[in-house]
Amino acid sequence: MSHQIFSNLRAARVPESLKERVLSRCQAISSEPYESATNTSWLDSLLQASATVAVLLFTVTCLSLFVSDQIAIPFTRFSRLDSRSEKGIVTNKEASWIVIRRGTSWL
Amino acid sequence: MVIPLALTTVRVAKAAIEQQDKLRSAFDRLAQDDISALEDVYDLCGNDVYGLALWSTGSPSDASDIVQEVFLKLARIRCSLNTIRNPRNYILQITQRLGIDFYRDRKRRMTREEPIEFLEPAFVQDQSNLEDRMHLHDAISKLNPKQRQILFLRYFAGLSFSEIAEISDLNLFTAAGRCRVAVQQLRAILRKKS
Repeated sequence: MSHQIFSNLRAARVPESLKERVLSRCQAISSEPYESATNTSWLDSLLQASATVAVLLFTVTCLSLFVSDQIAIPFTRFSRLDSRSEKGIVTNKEASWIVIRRGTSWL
Repeated sequence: MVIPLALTTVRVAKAAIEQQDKLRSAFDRLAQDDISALEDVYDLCGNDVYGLALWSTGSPSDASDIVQEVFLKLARIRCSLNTIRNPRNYILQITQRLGIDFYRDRKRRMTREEPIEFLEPAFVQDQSNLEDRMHLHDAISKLNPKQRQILFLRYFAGLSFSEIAEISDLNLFTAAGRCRVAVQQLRAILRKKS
C-alpha cells in the first residue's frame, strides 16, 4: 500500500533502548491500583463517612415527612374522597388518580 | 504482473490477520493480569506506535514519551482489554490522540528540535539518494500533524480509509480527502524544492 513518493522507504523504527524502559515502567505500575485500593487516605474515609451521614439524614427526613402531615394528607383525604365516590360525586378511578397525584406532588 | 501483485496483497492481508490474532490473545492475557503479555504487544505494535507518534509530533523525544504513555495506559486498564474488538486500531487511536495533545503542548512551549528523519531506507544497504530523502523529510515536516498522521496510517500502517476514519473520528470521505490533499501538498513542496 506504499505510495510512489515513499518507495524503498519505511517509517523510522522505535529505538531499541526504549523497550526496556517502557516495559519496566509498566511492570512497576501494574501493582499500583491494588496498593491504592487497600491504602485509602484520610480524605477518602472522611468523604465516605459524610456520604453515609447524608444518606442517613435523607432517609430520616423522608420517613418523618411520610409520617407527618405533608405526605400523610393524601392518605387521610382518601377516606373523604372515598366517601364522595360512594355518593357518586367522583368515581373510584378518579379518586385514586387524585390520591396518586397529591402523593407524588411533593417529589 | 497482476498475479504477483495479487499474491503480495493476499500475503499482506494474511499477515495482518495473524498480527490481529496475536494481539487479541495478548490482550486476553493482559485481562487475566498477565503483565508479561505487554512485551508481545510492544513487539507487535511498538514500531507503529512510535512511527505514528513521530509523524504526529515531529519530535523523537515526544514520540518516545508517547510510546511510554500508550503502554502505561494499557497496563493501567489491562483488566478491561478483553472487550476490545480491534486491538491494533485501539492502540493506534490512543496514539493518535496523544500525538495531537503532545503536538499542541509543544507548539505552546515553542520548542524546536533539529530536523528529524521520518523515514529510513527499507533496505539497510540502500543508502543512496540521501539528499532526496532529506528533501522528503523537510517536506513532510511542513505538513500539519493531522495530514502527517493520515499519511502514516495509510502508507506505513497500511490501514484502509474506513479504519483511518474510525481511528481519527472522521467521516470516510473526509479521511480520503485529507490523504489526497496531503499527497498533493507533499508533491507541490517537493516540486518547488527541485
